[in-house]
Amino acid sequence: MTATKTETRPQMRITPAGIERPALGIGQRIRIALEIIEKAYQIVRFNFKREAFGTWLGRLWLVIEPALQAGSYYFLIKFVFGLKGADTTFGFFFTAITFWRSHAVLVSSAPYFYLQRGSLYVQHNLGLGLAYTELVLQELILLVLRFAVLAVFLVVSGVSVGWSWLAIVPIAIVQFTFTLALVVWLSMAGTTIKDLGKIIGHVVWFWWYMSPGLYSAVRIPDWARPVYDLNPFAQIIPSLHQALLEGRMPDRWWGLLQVWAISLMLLWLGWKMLRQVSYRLTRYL
Amino acid sequence: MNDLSHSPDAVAVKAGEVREALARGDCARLAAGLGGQWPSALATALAKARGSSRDVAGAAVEARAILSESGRLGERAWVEFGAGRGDFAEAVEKTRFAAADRLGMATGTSLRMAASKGERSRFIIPDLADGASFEFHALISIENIHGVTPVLALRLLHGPDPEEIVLTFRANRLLVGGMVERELDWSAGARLLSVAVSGETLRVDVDGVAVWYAPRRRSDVATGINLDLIGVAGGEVAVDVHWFRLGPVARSMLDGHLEAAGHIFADSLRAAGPDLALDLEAYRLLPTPGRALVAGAMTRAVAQATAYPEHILGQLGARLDGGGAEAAGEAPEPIVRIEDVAVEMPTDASAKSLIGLLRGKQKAMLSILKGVSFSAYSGDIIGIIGKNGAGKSTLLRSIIGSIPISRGSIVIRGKPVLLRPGAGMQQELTGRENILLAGLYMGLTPREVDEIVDDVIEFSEIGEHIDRPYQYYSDGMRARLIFSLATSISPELLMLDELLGAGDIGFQEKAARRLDTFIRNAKVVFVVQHGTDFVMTRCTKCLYIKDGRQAYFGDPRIAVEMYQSDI
Repeated sequence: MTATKTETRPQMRITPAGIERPALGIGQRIRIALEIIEKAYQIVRFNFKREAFGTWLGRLWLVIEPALQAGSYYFLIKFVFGLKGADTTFGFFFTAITFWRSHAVLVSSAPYFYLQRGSLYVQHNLGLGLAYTELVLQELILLVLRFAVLAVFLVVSGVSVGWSWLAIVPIAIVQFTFTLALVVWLSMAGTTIKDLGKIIGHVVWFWWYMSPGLYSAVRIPDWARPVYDLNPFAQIIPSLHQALLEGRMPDRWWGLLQVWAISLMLLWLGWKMLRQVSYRLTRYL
Repeated sequence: MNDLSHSPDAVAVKAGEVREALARGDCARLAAGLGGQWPSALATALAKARGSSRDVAGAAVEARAILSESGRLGERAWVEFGAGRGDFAEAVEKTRFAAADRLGMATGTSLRMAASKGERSRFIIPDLADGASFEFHALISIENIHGVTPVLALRLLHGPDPEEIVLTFRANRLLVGGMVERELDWSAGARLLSVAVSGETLRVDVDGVAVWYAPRRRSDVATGINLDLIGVAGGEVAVDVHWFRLGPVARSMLDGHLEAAGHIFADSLRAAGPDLALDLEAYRLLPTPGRALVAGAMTRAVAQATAYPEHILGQLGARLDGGGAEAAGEAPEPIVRIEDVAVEMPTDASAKSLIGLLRGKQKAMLSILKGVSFSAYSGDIIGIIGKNGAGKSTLLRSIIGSIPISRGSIVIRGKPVLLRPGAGMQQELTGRENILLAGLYMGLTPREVDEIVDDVIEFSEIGEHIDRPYQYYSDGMRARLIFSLATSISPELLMLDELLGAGDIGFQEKAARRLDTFIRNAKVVFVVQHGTDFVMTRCTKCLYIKDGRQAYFGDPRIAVEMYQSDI
């Protein structure tokens, strides 16, 4: 037998209040974080393979599926509807849809997160850090693929690639931080209040129409702007349009920074809360 | 008497020596060294009784006299026969020496109960003068004609309520309330059994040595006593009661100390174990000047919550003649320590609420597990048995933290890994990919999984199927793959939930050998099985869970016997 010894962990104490583990040093935390990312990558790789199981084209569907979606939009907007105007182009619609889709998928599935993924991780004593990392990493990879498809279609439709496209990275970070903060809170709430899973889809759908993805934010009357701008996507989507379609750096950095700061705080609070209640949450799995 | 201000290490060493002496049954030597004489004299008298059955009657008289002189017998008896104090035939008339299937009889020198397989003989004292406080002594021997050890049970009656089983003798073991067991070899001859019930406490002595002192499982007043002989397979067995004496509890000054100590312990250690009996035996062996120290130490211990028994044992150890300090050694730390664990789950999904969750309050909870306490040490293979729904898998999941406990604590040194059939395996992935995935779930890095892949494939005998999707594997192949993976990574704490039953006989034998190798690496394994063969042949200890409660923890043979007698 080839035995690989796992590292002997220090004492772990379980009480009704939760699981007490010894505090870790910074070096250990970094090492564990890197391990989590590596493991999450492997698990995501297998997830993609599972989803493509039994198909002829296999994992190529990861690219084909967004390409088909982009093609459909391109055909409808360009040739069927023949829409004219700055906020009615294929690029305008599909840029917003590409990024919104990641947000919508993560938020819509968040109430079911614990039931569908968390239980597996808890049963294997892996910790929820890996579960959330896997969730976000998978969606991030899909976003990269969808963005690649978007980029091809933008170039085909006459948009030039420029330095401003690099602004996509910080904008995506802001969006994913905000989305993850919501996911953490919704996953906790959805475990005990399962009704949330039924409602959230409708909320996300309504949210999409309240965001400047199908129309330009300039169409919003001035009296409604203070409320409208509270929607983080009122900062995110116009910034994406500026960077990708208008070839200039976004002028909403301050707004994006505010969204990011609030998201970080929500995420931190959510993570703290999660650490407190995750042990008791397992009772509902 | 030395004072109690030894260094803690020295006290611990001496305490270890005393414990060893007591565990060896070397109380006579210990007592002699302390100046106490009666345990030694009693041991001599009982040794005579073991010489031949004709000497038993004389030994009974002698034992009675020794106990009487030492103040261990009360002034008067409610019922007494044997030892020259009463006729056995008269005792049959006075008590209800009834038998459900077989009648008992007076032989002239004893009351004899006999039973074959499926039969039960019952000796009943239906009415106690004081059911709250009484004590009896019985000199008993078992004639196992065909080398069969029967089941002998002592029960207390509580009016129309179910009987309370206090003691069970089976397979050369004494079980107290189903919670603790002691070696008790009946083949050695007659044994003096002393049971004292005082309020809510129960004390049991065998041959004058305390083996149990703890709260009773019930606190109400007993109305009567039963002694049941239950026949087992293998032939007829007979039990002789050579001397029986029932009366009020003899309350000597020393007993007062003992009871006080017992109550203090009982409050802090609801599930007292054999060690407590040893501690109390040590108290009992203290000479008179030591009693004041006992009382003082107890008072300080209560105030400071310190382990004062170690000090007392240290005092006794200092008086042992000869014997080295190296005898005690350092006690090993348990890999898993479970103390009074209970698990409750919501009974009604509609009772859930986020506010209740955040406040840590839940309504309508159902008790799944209750009162589970034991420790597992390096090298232990612990079988967990019980009926479906008893709480076996729940316990395993509590240990890894996937089911919250509602009471008690679990301390684990090492990373636990729980394996169940199909756990973590993905239907669409190949066997090879599942090895990597399951390895990640078990806490390995991809590089570590790469190192064991070949070994897992070879041992599991999956062969060329390893690159086929897992969903096409048979149940046996799946179990083999998971077992091979689990025993390749050597976790400190491995828990197998119904994983050993699958596979053909050849693989099961191979798996058992591999598990032996695995155990030699000083790890702890928990095995949940419906079958009892593995528990009987491989496990070092066994936990029997009955209706969500710990019915027994200890010798696998006894656990299995209890389990089989319940189903």
